[in-house]
Amino acid sequence: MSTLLKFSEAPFVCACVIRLLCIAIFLTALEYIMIIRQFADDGIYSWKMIKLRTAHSIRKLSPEILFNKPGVLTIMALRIGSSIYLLIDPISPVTVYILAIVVTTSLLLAVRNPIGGDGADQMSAITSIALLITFIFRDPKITAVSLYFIAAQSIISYVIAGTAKMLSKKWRSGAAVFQIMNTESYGSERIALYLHRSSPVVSAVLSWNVMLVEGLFFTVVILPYPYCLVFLAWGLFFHAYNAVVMGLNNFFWVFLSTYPAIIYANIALHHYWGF
Amino acid sequence: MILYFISVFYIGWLILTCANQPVFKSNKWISHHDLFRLVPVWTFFAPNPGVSDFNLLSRVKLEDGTITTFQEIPLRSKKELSTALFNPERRLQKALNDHARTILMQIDNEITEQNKENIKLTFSYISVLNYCAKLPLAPRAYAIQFIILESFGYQELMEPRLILNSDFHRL
Repeated sequence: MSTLLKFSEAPFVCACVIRLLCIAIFLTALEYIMIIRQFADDGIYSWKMIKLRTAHSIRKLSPEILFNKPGVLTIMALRIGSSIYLLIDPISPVTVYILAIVVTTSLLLAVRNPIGGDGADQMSAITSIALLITFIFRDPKITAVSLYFIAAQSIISYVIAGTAKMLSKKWRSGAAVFQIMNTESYGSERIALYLHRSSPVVSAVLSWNVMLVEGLFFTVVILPYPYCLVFLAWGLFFHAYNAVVMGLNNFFWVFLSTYPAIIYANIALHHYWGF
Repeated sequence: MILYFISVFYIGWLILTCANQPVFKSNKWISHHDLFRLVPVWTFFAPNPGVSDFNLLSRVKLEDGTITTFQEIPLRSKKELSTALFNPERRLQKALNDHARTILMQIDNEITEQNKENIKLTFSYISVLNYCAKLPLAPRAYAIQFIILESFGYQELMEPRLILNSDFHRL
C-alpha cells in the first residue's frame, strides 16, 4: 500500500513515466543507428526518395542537411544522449530542455519518416509532449492534467482496439487470432500449428479475452485498488507476448510508460473526487 | 487561465484521436493533414487483420543477356528473446513491408488495365526498385527486376499470389 501511495505523488509518477519512456527512446534510437546506412541515398529511408512523395510543403522545404544520413545520425545521437540523461536524473532543472530535445527530434522524425513508423512511435511522441508541457509550467494542476491526458490516451488506445475487434466477424469467431499467429511477420509456427490442430474454441477464447479486456480497459481507472492492477498486469503480459512472439518490441516500453499515469488517475479519481 | 487552455487542448487532442479512427469519415482528412503523426489510429489488427506475408524477390539480367535466378530479400527476422528487446532489422523490414502493402492497395484500388504503367511512377515502386538496385548484385549486372508475392502463412491457407512483377530496369 505504501508503494501505491507513492503513485499519488505527481513527481514520482512523472519520474516513472520519463524513465520507462526513455528506455523505449534509447532502444529505438539505437535500432535506427544500427541501420543508419538505410538513410543514405541508396537506402530504403533515402531522403531523396521520401521527399519526392509528399504533398506537405514543410517536407519539401526541409533542409537537406537535417534529413540526410549525418543529419539523422545527429538526431539519433541527441535522442540517445537525452534518454540516458533522463534515465539517470528524470527530474532536474534541465529536464524541460532535455524533453524539448526529445519532442523536437520526435517531430522531426515524424516528418522525416512517413514510412516504417508505428503506434508506439506515436504514443512515445504524445507522452513526450504531455511531459514537456508539465515541465514548462511546473504547476501541480497542469502536471495532474497532463498525467490524466497520458492515462486517457493510453486507455482510449485499448478501448478503440477492443471495440474495433468486436466489430469484426473474424475476431468474434476467433479466426483472426489463428490467422495472425499463422503469419510469419507477426506469428509463430508453433502457436499457429497448435491453434490449427486444436478446437476453434481455443482461438475464440483467446480472441474474446483480448476483445473484452481491451474493450473494458476504461474500468482500470474506476476499479478500486488492487482490482485495477488486474488490467495493468494483463497489459504487461499482453505487451510482453507481443514483443516476444509478434516482434513488437518497442510497444512494450512505450505503453508500459503510460501505466504509472493510469495508476495516478485511478488514485485521484478515488481519493479526490470520492468516486 | 493557462490550465483552462491546456485542458481544452488535451480534450481536443483526445476528440481528434477518436475522430481519426477508420470508422469515421474524418479519418482521411485528419491523417492527410497530420504531418507530425500526432493523431494516432488505435485499431491495431482490427477490424480486418493482416493475414498474409509479403515476399520480395529480385533477379538481374547480365550484359550477355543471361537472367539469374530470383533471390529472396528477407522481410522478416528470426524472433528470439533478444529481438524482443532489441531488433534493428525490424525497422528496415517494416519499411519494406509498408511499401509492399501500399503497392498491393494501389493495385487493388487505383491501378486498372488502362493505367497499369502508372504503378511505376509511385513512391513505393520507385523506393523498392531503388533499394533492390543498390543491393550487392552479380558482376556485369545490366538490369534488375523485382517481384512481390503475397503468401498465407505457416499453414498455407491459400496458394501464394503474385502482386507485382516489375519490368527489367536498367541499372
